[in-house]
Amino acid sequence: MNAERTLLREAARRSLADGLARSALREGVDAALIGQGWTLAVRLGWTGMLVPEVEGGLALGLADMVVLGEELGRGLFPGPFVATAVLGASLAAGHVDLLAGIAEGRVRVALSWPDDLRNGLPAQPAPIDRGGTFHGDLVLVEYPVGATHYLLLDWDKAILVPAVDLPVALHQPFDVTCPIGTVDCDSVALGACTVLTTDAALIDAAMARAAIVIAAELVGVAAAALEMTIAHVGERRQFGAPLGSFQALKHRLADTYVRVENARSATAYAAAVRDAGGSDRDLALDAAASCAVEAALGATADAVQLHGAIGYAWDHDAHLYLKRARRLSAILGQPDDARARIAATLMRSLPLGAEFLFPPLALEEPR
Amino acid sequence: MTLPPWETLDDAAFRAALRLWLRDHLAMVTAGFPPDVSPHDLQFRRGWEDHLCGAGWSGLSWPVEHGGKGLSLGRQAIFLEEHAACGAPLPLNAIAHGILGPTLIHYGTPAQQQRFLPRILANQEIWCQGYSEPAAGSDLAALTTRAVRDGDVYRVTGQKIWTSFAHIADWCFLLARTDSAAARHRGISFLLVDMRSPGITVRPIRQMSGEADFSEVFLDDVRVPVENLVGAENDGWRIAMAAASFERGTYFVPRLVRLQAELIELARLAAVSAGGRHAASPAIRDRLARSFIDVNVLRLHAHRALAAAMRGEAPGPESSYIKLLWSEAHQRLLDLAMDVLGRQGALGPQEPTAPKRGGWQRDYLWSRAETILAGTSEIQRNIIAERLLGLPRGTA
Repeated sequence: MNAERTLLREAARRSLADGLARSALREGVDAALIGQGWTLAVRLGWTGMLVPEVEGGLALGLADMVVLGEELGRGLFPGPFVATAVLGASLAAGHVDLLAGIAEGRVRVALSWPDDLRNGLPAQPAPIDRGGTFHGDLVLVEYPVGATHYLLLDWDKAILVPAVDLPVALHQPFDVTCPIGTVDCDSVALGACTVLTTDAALIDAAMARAAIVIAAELVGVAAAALEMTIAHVGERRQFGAPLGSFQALKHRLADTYVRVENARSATAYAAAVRDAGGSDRDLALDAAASCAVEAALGATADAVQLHGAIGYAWDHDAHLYLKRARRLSAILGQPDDARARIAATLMRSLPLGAEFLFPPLALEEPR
Repeated sequence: MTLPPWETLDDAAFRAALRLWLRDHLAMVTAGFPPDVSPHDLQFRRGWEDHLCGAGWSGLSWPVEHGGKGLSLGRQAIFLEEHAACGAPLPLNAIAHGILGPTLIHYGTPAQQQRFLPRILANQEIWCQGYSEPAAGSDLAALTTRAVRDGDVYRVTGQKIWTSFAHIADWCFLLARTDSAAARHRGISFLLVDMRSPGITVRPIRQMSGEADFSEVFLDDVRVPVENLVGAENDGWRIAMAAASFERGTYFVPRLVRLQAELIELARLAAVSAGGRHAASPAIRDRLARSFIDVNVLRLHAHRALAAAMRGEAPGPESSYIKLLWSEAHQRLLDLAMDVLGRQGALGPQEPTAPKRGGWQRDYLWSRAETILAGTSEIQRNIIAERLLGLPRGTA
């Protein structure tokens, strides 16, 4: 990792640990806490990382963003960061004021993520009639609290709906660090909205970029759960010895470690290849998604198990990570779907051989 | 036999010239063997390795003052990649070129360097490594082979086992206990032993593949001149640990190239086998994709290890997880290959009419050894847990 990314990681880890108290996150995330996190993200330039310099951003790439993404996962950042600063910023290409607004923190985008980002299926189609008026509700919107816009995604269009005065009904969230709501869009006129793009390829690319950063968040969730568990089994003693001296636990944690390292490498590579437009960018993304989901679900479930009864307690952090891993995994989709896409590409690409499937790696490290 | 003027080429041109050279010369050497020669045939392996060394492709990592080529790690990696990709048989004397040579360069006396290094470079002497013993496998420091100083010789008595190529080796570098009173790791010395010395008996061990590349080596009062001690007496453990680190930067480079090729070969087999049922099976496709992911992450890890070595960083315990992942990924790939072969897998590993002339069966069987040799998967997990994760040592 280069020196700038190491600095980014250290600054992010420190500021998230200092700025967001776990005890507050555990008791439920409200507008004030989301606002507190957002202020931090804007102040440190995170929302503008992918925004071009002319619009006030830092014009960095995904290879930088995944470093931050991992820290957001580790720190359980409560806010629609990927929706705004990755998906939103990617879709808003050319919309100067929106991009500037994202970088400056004036724009905060919430959406109902598709069930499976890589299959591009919206959770529900945009509820719009022929006359250009919306009908019905947006359901399962993440972080609707404090959002300035809601993003409607369909195969071939991305529309930003101003959030002003739209009624939101909040529900009990599974992941207590992520409020979930239903937004009443009835009678909103399309004319009052911004059509970001009607380019299906741009939408697909933006979703791929978001998927890579979500994979990075999952790596951070997995790494935090693993580290928490390592600390616990090093301290907790039973049968006269630290739990971590027992091989059954050691081997389990070694396997988790390997899964987390795999996911981290695969995600960094997916980001680097996406930045460079490499021929294997979709293979790399699906590999990262499969690795990240399995690493996070495995590491967080193991964290609960290896902490014993305390890991089941509300006052322990284990459930916060388990729940976040579950929520983010559902956005990335099933790992076996990712692998089905890999297999399809593999079988289709056999005549192209190793040079297509495994293009040479640059001697500069991909992370 | 002339080499292309590769010292003056840039990396891409070097790679391209090397690829052509390997293709032409492999065809030339292969033509001297029967048309159905197995890539595992020891004479074929030796013949190709002799040819490479004769053409100057040896000592690539060694410094020039010791007769090596002093190539950068990047160039070495290119050679290893192209060599692995050209379909050549595996090297036979890799342990001499990759491990013993660099060890003598670091720790050997000038006399040892002059005596042994030129013959390794020319592949004139085949070496084996005498580490494991019947009661010292994963716990290598439990070794009991004894070397007792007697005037200007050590008298060595004991037994080594799982010694690769002992039956054809000219020399053996071995670990023997020279101080029984010292702590386990402290009383061990690193000795160079002529395999033709009186008192050495080699008994090949037949493996589950039917081949016999390993042997038991019995040492009965074998006289080893004291000038064949490498480093100081009782300092052998440290030298053996250093010896194991010389290849770390490039060790996985050829293995990854072969793993990639095997995955593609397996996918091609799956595409045509069982009347298309395998290619359509979601379960088979899922396992193929898992193997693709394994290969993909492994090459990132291997690449990172190479990059770290290029920056001059000392190898650390992260090679344990690459070894663990590589050996288990290879096993998963070959488990799948046997499933895809189906009843074709009923043919044996040396059966010429089997697909790939039994190569899948042979590799499947060999992959069972890969999670055992050079540190079992269980030992690798312990190393990861204790040295990377910092968990307490323990025996339970």
